[in-house]
Amino acid sequence: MKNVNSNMVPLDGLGIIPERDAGTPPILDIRHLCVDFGGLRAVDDFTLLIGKTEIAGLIGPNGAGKTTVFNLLTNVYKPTEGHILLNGQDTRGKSMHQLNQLGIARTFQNIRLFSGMTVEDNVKVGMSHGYSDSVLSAMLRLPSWWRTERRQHIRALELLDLFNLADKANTLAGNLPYGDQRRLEIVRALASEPKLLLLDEPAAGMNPSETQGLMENIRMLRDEFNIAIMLIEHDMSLVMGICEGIAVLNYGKIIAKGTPKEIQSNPVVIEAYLGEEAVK
Amino acid sequence: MLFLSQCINGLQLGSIYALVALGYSMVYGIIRLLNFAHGDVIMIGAYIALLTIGAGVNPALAVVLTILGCVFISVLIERVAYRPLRSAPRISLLITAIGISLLLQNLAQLLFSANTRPYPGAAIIPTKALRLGALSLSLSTIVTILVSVGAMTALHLLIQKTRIGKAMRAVSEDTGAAQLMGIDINKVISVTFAIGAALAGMGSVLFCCRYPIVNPNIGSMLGLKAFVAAVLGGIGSIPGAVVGGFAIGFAEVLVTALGFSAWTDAVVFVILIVVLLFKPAGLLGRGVAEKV
Repeated sequence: MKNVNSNMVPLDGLGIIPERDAGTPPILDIRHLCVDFGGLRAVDDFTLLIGKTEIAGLIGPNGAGKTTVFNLLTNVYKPTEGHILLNGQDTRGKSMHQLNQLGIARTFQNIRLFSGMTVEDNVKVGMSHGYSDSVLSAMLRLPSWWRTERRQHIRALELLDLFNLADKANTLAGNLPYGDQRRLEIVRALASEPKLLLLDEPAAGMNPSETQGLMENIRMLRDEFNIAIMLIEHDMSLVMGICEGIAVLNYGKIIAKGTPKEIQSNPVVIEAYLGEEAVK
Repeated sequence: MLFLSQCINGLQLGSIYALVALGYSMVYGIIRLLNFAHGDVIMIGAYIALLTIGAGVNPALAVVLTILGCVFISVLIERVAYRPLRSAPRISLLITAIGISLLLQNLAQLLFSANTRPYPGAAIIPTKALRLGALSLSLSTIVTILVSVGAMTALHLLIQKTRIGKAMRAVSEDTGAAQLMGIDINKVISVTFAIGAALAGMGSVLFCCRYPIVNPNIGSMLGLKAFVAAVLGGIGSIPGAVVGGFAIGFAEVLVTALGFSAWTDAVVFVILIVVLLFKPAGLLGRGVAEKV
């Protein structure tokens, strides 16, 4: 756990990133992001920095716009205003698969595995870029096809093994127990070799011991792959346990940013979660 | 013996329907579009073979040109007509497909006239009969069955074993998630149309060798019947399209053998109505639970 408890330092007056990432530009630089759905401003003036190896949390009451932020980051929605720099590159106008190739991958709040495909094939779908494949070479079983095939197979099993799923490689994804499906979504996202991994409620529906295991897994991913991870989560033990920087969203606006300690004692946050009465 | 030869007859007709039905089902599986122009691509293919062989091109080369021509036209239609409507309501796409179908038929009428012309089937597959004991089989029957089974096996391998096949399965299960995992959906859709059209091109040659006439309307009835086959098997399902194709082929042959040849088309559409009433997901289709 070499990276834990790094101090957070300010950067350009826009936000904070872990001290160890201070020498490198942030992986994600979001400035004044807004999106309107009809007359409703779902995300308003969202500005956030995420360090290159940071574990960041995005929390807030239900309907605050957290998943909408993820959808903006992955270009499922187009922002009305503002811009997003991923690893220094503007993501505007990129298609979803191009963004994936630029280094962003995600999981979904409501699991969206390819349930009719095997566990291994789900992971291989995530590897689709970086391996060129002509129909001809596959039909003729050319040596290049076999080489790629074997490389993908080995890599898929390695990744599955990180989450103890390797022995289920040939099971249909739809037949996995719920917790395994959540973990498989993370493995599938990892397969595209992201620099930034977005996890949308990874602990949803998990019991406390599974959540504990997941926390260790997330830390391990960051240390092993040296990537940034941004997660949406309602389980506060997980968020406060592993996140270094936390942003709190309410009605589409960031109402607080800071370290877990700062967030926990922030009266504005407590008010958003528990109502005005609780603060008094 | 009559029964056996009728079975083989059904196998021949069924494999043609299956080839065409695969194109409907694959495209539906990927972009939820009933591509009603699919049958008319077959008609264009028939004219390509007719004209090239008429111009003295080697028949084998003409078959290749037919298949390539079908692929070209299908991919072009997708690019020009369907792609701009990707995010439009499904009904707009469906109406566009019907429009393209009418466009192709009228274009063919304009270019080649509405006259029915003989198809040079004999130049492609010689009319020869092979005797197996008391059983007499035409060469075209054997070629049709072998080519179809070969093409379907190749398709199965492509979808199950190749990376583009994996991408196709992923897109058909969840387009959004597939894109977010880095799959270029435009490429997958183009490849799907190309494969469907290549099968249709083969279907065109084999169908016209069985019924050697060409006019601008030959594609519409074949297309509709293959569509019924795809629905019967479960639209979107690849094995379903094959099963449905053979079922429709056998049904037609059976009706003819019983002496009601004038009723074959009616029987096919009665099957469609029955399927839609009692098993709308088809024989092998995935039932979609209604969201409440």
